[in-house]
Amino acid sequence: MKQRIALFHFLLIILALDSCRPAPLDIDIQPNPPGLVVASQIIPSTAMAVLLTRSFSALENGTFVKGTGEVAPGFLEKLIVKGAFVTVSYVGVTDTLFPVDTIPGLYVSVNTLQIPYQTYTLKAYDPQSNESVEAQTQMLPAVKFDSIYPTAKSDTSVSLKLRFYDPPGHNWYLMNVYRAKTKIGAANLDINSVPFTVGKNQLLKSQLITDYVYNTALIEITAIIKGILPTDTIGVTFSNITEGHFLFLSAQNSSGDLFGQFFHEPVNIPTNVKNGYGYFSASDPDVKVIDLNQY
Amino acid sequence: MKFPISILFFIIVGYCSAQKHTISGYVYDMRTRESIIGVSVAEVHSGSNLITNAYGFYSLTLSGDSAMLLYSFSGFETMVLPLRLIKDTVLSVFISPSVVKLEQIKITGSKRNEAEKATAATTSEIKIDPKNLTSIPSFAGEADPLKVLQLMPGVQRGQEGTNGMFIRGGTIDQNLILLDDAPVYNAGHLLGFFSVFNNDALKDVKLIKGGFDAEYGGRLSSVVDIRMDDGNMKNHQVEGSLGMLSTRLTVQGPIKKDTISYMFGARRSYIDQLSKWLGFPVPYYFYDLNGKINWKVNAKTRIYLSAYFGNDILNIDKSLRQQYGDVSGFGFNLLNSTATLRINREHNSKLFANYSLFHTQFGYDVNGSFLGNSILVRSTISDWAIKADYSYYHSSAHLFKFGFTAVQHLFIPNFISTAGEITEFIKSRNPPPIFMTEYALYVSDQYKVNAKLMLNFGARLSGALVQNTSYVGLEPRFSASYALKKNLYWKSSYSRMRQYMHLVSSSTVSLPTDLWYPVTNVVKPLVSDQFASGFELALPKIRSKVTVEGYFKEMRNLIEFKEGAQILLNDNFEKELLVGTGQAYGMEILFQRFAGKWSGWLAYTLSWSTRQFDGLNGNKSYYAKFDRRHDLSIVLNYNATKNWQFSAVWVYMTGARFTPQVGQYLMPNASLTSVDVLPIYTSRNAVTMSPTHRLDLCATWSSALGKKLHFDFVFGVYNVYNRASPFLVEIARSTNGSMVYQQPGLFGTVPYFSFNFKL
Repeated sequence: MKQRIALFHFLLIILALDSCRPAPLDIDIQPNPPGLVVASQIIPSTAMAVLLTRSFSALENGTFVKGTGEVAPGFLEKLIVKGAFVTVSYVGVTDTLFPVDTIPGLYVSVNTLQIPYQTYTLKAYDPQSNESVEAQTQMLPAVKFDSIYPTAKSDTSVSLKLRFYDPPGHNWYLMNVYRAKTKIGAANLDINSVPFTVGKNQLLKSQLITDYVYNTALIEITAIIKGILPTDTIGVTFSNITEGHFLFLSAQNSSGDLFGQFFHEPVNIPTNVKNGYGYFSASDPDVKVIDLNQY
Repeated sequence: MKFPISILFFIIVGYCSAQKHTISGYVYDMRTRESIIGVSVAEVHSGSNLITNAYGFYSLTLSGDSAMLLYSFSGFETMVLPLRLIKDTVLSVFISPSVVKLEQIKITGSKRNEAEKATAATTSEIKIDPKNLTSIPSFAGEADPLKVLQLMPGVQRGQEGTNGMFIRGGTIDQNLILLDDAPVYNAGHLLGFFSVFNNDALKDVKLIKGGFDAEYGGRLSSVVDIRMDDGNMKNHQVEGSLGMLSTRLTVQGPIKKDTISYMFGARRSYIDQLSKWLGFPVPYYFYDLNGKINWKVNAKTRIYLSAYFGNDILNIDKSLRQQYGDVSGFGFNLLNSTATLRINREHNSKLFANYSLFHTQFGYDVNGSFLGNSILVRSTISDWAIKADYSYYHSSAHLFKFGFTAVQHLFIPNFISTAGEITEFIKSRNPPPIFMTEYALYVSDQYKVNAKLMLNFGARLSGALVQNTSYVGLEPRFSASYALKKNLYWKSSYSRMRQYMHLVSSSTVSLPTDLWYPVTNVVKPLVSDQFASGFELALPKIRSKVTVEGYFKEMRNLIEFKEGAQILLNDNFEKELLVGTGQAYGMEILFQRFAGKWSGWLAYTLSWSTRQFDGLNGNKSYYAKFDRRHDLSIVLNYNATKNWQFSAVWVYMTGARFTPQVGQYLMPNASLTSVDVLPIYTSRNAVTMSPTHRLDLCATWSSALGKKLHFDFVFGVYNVYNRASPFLVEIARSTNGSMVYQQPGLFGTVPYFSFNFKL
């Protein structure tokens, strides 16, 4: 009898709480109209590359392959901007960036001179959507490594000690450490060979550095690199970047994954692209390839 | 007017004065012999008046050789007492409850004689009687004083169903909730759906949202001063309730008649027991324990010892694996406790003192274990404090209050212990405790300038010592009341408040496990300046009152997290904080009808609340998350017969604000080794959710008054027309397959019943 009363009580509670769940209310939030997105890369003494894509609404259907989390191929196709007119202007010169057939959406100029402290203006026009964007950036001089020295910490980690001279004024840097994914050896590192070739190198560490916390001209940084073997060959790139680029990359790091977007505070990612998104940068990296066998 | 049915008093001879004599003493409830807070005591001829303090004490200094004292309090017989003034006199009186059943809903001012209330220089103050809440419709029939306060002007709700209060543009951590002088740091059970207060064990609930007296401090936006029952000094008494989700029982009575009494209350939810019986355990429950001892040592000294202990417990252990899958263990404890020792001492007929020693603690443990990994996260805040409050009844014109308080806070935020592979991602940490000493000195004068004008001015000097840093600041307070006409009063106030701790909480997810954290050498004390002004019109013919009040509040040193800040288990969140300012302003209207067949109130708030932080929203000012433009509550109570009473609550509120993600784009990461999907948000809090409106109804059948056993049955329906009250925004697939933004509601129509009794 007692159990029946309990059952009745429990059912009443469940019914009370669940039987009449109200229909959700619609909300009038205007989806964001698609805009042009700019990403760029400098290949030292070789080329300037710009990738043009489109943003998409948060209400976009079929964005990812179900169950994999990967971007659906058809969807990716829709985002790539083909047939755009892209130019870069500096010191009175305007260079046209030409599309790369093998990588849709990528525009490259091999004529563009890389002049430190020079301001570069990017203009892109997409005749399909009749949209245009413009962005300006300054190419900062490359800051070279004064020295770089790895020390084995354990079988799977290395302490990388690097030193460089910090130019006067406030400066911001980006350091990346890679390992060749396939074969060991400097020749197999794809750093800078082809821009935006995602997945050819294994990223070991990416670090943004600001000189605010240092008060000497010669800055020494120790980075612990994990997941590495003593026989590996690694590549280290080091770029002197603008403050705007630094803030953009910081914001990107903060919100670049779905976990972050749920548990982090919302980020309005800065941009230097007028009427668009992304960031137009022109940093000239110093590159070092290190064969750990030799240390 | 009815005259007293019983008078009991005793006289202690003091010293004689040629011209003026002081009448002092306590006012008690005849049934229980407990002191009554807020009784109006007035001398009819001279117009001198005051109200009894938090311990039922009063002191009036009168001239002449005779006096006519009038004691009045809503729900009680008015007592008129003629006196010959020969010498200073101690006069304690016992007043009796009205025989006639009064209105069930008793709120602001109902505890005071209206004329007296209007002349008191208090603004922005609301009182409710916790004993009469069961007839107000509530979720699942759980009577809750904090939910009733949410129906008042200037008090806005947070998420649907929760008891968080956003008062005049402030946040929930800007409310000081006191239970017998001890702060309660987490006032909610079950993610805030129920408050920790068992209304059977409560005596008085007072909300102050502006015009703060100098004795209160430590928070910017409000003080909720809750007093527990003292315990019946005359008879043993049992009262309780059986509800759908919990049951409660309170017993009280004399240990030694008229000398020592006790009160003990307990409440427990029982979903876990029911579900266990039925074979699908829901291993969650909460409980509360309240206790109090009240010892009248002698005519001038009284000692109170009170305590509260409450806990929320979830424990999914290995035995429940069948129901809960591979999780081999998960649970939490949210533990709240307070203990207060108070000594009342009437040093002489004009000087009343209260000395308090209290301890309060809030802590939580969250633990989980799975696949050989385990994690325990623990945070604690604990206070020890001493406090002394003096009231000096100098004359009928001046009531001086002064005192001090010193609190030793101990914070242990984010103790983490991990084992197994999870240690790669989450490191164990045993942070050093943070100590903070907070102190305050205050003085104020309630000055009755003449029959029309009353002033209350004072100051509070507060400070904190933390991490070798010392903060100190002066908090001036001022309020005034002026009788423009017989029943029309103008009131204004100014208060500066300082706050030395805050709740570290995400703007996206708010949890009971949010951290309390002190000011540091980086995070400065919060400061607010609030101006309030308004009119009060008493309408005695229809036993009603209208209050219209406007306010402007400016807040400084508010904190918010930087964009992209990671808060979860972050042991260095100070680096992620930004400091900014806030403004809140608005207008509040309250119409109340206190008695009659129809009673209730209408409360409307028109308000704005903004924030400005360098580093957020492009440094531009933005609306706060709970900036709700319109907030309307209508509470109606209809006494149909001697036994039946019907009540309705209708609320309307502009939706809360939020920052939705409206777009995305792909971007190679900094190392060009992968592509990130980056979000595009609107500007901060740019979108308003749909408005909330909801109708709740209830019918109460009560047994006849005057019998030894009194009981009532309450039948109610929450959210009668099943309207969703948005609490989040989600992207969902519509029926035609396209994606849409939707706002689901948490609860639809919920019928409920409860049984309450008193013996």
